[in-house]
This record gives sequence, C-alpha cells and structure tokens, in this order.
Amino acid sequence: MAIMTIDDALKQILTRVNDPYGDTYWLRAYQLFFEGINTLVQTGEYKAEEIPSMIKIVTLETEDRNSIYWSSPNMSENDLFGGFVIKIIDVRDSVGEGIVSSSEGNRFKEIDNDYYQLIKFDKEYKPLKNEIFYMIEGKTEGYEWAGEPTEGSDEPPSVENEHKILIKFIGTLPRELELKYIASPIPSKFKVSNPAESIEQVSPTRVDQMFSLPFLYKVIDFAVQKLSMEAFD
Amino acid sequence: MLYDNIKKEIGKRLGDPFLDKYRALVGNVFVESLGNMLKEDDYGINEIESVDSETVTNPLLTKKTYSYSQVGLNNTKKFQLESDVFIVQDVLFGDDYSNISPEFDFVPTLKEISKDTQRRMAIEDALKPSGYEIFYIINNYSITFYSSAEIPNGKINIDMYYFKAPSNDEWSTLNDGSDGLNLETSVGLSPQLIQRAINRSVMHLSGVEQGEKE
Repeated sequence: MAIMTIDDALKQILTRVNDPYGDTYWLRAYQLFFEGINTLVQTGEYKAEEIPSMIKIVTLETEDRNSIYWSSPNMSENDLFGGFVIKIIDVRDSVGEGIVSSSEGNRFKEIDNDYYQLIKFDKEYKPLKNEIFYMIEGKTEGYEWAGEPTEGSDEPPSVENEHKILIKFIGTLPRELELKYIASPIPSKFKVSNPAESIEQVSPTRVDQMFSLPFLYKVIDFAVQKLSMEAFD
Repeated sequence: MLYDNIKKEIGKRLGDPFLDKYRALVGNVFVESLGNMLKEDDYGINEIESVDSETVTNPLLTKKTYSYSQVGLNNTKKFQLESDVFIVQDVLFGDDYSNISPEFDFVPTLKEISKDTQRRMAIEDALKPSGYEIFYIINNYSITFYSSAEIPNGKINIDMYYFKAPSNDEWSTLNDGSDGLNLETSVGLSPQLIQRAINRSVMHLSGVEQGEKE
C-alpha cells in the first residue's frame, strides 16, 4: 500500500473485527485510532522520526522571568484529547538552523521536587553557572476546582486557562529558549468518511505523511485489540 | 580557570560530565585536596601569588600587619591570630623596618624561637633578645613578639604572610558573581597547581567510589 489515509486505517481496523462496512464499530474504531496514537506516545512506544507532525518546537521569550506559563497553541480545539500536550520533551537554548554554533550555551536539566528539596537542603546541589534547572508544574493560579468558574464569573474557565502549564526555572535564563513537546493530533482536523452520516470524503487525510507505517500498524493493532476485548465483553 | 570549570573537569575525569553523581562533593573535595597540598608543602612558592600582587583580588596567600610601639611591659607584645589563618608562610618586617631599605641607622633582626627558648628566656637573660633583635613565637593561636630593650622607640610593623584555608563556601559565594570566580586571576593559583589539585580530587573521589564497591 503506497498511500494510507485515515479511511484506509479505519477500514483495516474494522475488517479485522469483522465489520468491514463499519456498520457497528466505525465510531469506536475512529475513537480508538486517536486513543491508540496518544497511548503509544505516552507510554514511549515511538521514535521521534515516526511522529514528526506531533512533535512541535516553539520559541519562548523569557523576558527576564524565572517562570513561564505556557499552553500549547490551538488549545480550544478540544475534542477527544485533541491539541493537548502529551509531554514536554526538551527545554533548551534556541538551536539555530543550519550549522549549529559551537559557542557555549546553557544546559537545561529537568528536576523533580525531591531534587528541589535537596537544593534547599544543601546548596552544593544548585546549578552551575551555565546550567538551568527546571520543574514542570501544574496550575498555580486560583483555587477553583477543575471546571469550576473562576471567582466573579459564571462562565466555565477557558481551555487555555485550565491547561496552562507552569515551568519554573532555577538559574539565569537566556533571552529566549526553545520548548519541544508532543501534542495530541486534533481529530476534527482530519477529513474522514463517516458511514453513519453517509459522508464520503473524496480525499481523506493521508496519515502516512504524519506517521510512519510501522507506527500506524501499532496503532491499528492497539485499536483492534481494544475492540476485540470490548466486543467480547 | 573558573571554579565551575574545575568542578566540571573533575566530573569529566570521573565519567560524570553533568555532575549528576558528584555535584555536591566536587567543591569540598577540591578545597580539601588543595589544603592538603599546602599542608604537605606540595607547591612551589611561585605557584601562588600573594596579596601584594596588584591583580589578585581574593588571595589565598594573604598577610596581616602587626603594629606596635616599644612601650609594652617587658618589651613583649602578644596578638591573637586572625581566625582564617591556616599555615603561616613567613613573618618579616614591613615598611621602614624592612631589611631591604631600612631608613634607620640600624638593621633589626627578626627571629622565630622555640617554645623551649621562650620558657628559658624567663630565667636566662642571655637568651633574651639583645641589640636590635626581635623574637617571635606562634603558639596557642597567638603570635608573641619579644623585642630587645635597645630598639629605639617608634612604631614597629611586622607582616605575617599566611595561607587562608581554601574555603568552598567563600569561593562559591564569590563564584555567584556575574563573571564567576577565576582561581588563577582572582585567587592567585597557578594553572599547574590547580591541575594537581584536580588530580588529587579525582583520585580521592574515585577512591571513595572504589570503597563503595567493596
């Protein structure tokens, strides 16, 4: 198969569970396709070059702060885990294109709370001159429960507000830094043929361009296994 | 060589370039190694610049000037040593009493005496300083000067050159400045001396690791 669209992938899943026309399991197969992608990436069963379109790099201006609130772009495209950050892979000095300068820069190292306590306990553990430690924290603004309107407002909090990630730094930050992260695919961005709604896409989204075929087959396997278990239940 | 680079160098030689394992140890082990080298006389005096150098801002080899007038009881003067004295390197006249360019018509002599001489001086006048002699003894965290009664009245300045104990706390604080701490230009250590101290630190830490395995 030279080309694989999302329709082809769903057809493979449905064929393997004896529902080639998708009369019964199309919607579940569609859900499991994206669930599979997220789960495989989250559990580390991927190589970076297998999911190029999910790996994003953004440049952040630090503006002399030692903490950054950040949420991934397109956060409001919120359906079926869409658009959220699965994990932050790297925080680093900006890497220029082409030949990378060999001049000295900063080393970024992620630390956890235990290490943070260690620094507080013994300053010998603190970062050296060109080192920056960072901690990826949760939300630290407001005391509302998840989904609860913010004080003085009847509106539920925006997705951007709910999912802002706070990154705290220990060390002297450069003017700008790069953040490399994995974002979930947004299902609504995919053009797919839905038999239940009799929608036949002329050109469904090609998934072989955004994922490697071995990775796609792992996703298909994941969906088939899940569907088989659910059907068996 | 910057203090941070010394730590990195020790880490590299131990196979821990990011100092994930030895971060909290390298600073203290380095100053311990350097201190042991000073204690064991494993250095050339030209390898450590003194406070008299115009470029060194935080010298390891520093000095304290003791000034007193010839009016003390029994021509004896006792001073407490500075709290940061580690090894006394030299005691000599400063200013006008310098042997290099004395402005007086006599040449004073400074001589260290033993504890035994100090005790016997009390009962044997022959052992007391005479002429233009000044004796001194360093013990019990103090320095005591015994001057000859023949030395003319006037202020006497005596410089004591000493090594401060290398201090990781002090160097870390200095290193927090924007430029970091350069042990060659700021503290006055020669590159070779630093390298030897690094070597000792690596041997020490790898010995610790070996001990852990056993």
